[in-house]
Amino acid sequence: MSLLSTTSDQRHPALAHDAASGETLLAWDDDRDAVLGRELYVQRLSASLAPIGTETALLTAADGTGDQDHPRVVFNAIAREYVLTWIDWSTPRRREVFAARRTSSGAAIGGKFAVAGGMGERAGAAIAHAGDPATNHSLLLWSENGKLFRRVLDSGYPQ
Amino acid sequence: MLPAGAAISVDASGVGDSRRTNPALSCLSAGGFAVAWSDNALAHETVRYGRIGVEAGAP
Repeated sequence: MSLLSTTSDQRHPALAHDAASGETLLAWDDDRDAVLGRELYVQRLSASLAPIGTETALLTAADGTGDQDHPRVVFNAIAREYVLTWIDWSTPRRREVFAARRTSSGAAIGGKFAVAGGMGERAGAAIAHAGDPATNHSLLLWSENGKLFRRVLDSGYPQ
Repeated sequence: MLPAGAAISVDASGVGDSRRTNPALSCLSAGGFAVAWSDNALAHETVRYGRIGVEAGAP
């Protein structure tokens, strides 16, 4: 078992696997940046789970300085891209669900986008891909003020 | 139906009585599963990860 390198707190890992390349993407929330707060990091892993490249921040300062945590990630084998979702604290007094897309090699596809925004306390976002090439849908589920909500993502974006 | 089997430790190599939480799994195309979790074996909480095999006797 390997240990990631930093002296900051790292929590809430999530994994997704690309069967075609054999790679796995590991995501987690990380307190290493005192300015940006709790941020999401990702690490590509080879088929033998060896690191490919270095740990990289999922977002930049342009995406806001609020905390992001509890990431979840899924690999869309049809579009060949990862979709990550998390709880975002960028807007004061709100916990919103955001998502972002990454290519199979980890490159950004656009910036973060809101899946469930506005007033509300959201937690526990989960995501899965249906695997149906006809629709290419992913389903996103989260808890909001004690109720469960869902939203379909079409090729990574909310419908 | 999968056999139930017995609960076994995934990682017995931690330091002291570290607390391991937030496990995550992903099925690997080469066989087995990638596993990751939060571990407070050090002075701070870290993410550790590895592979769990499904063959007999795998760690």
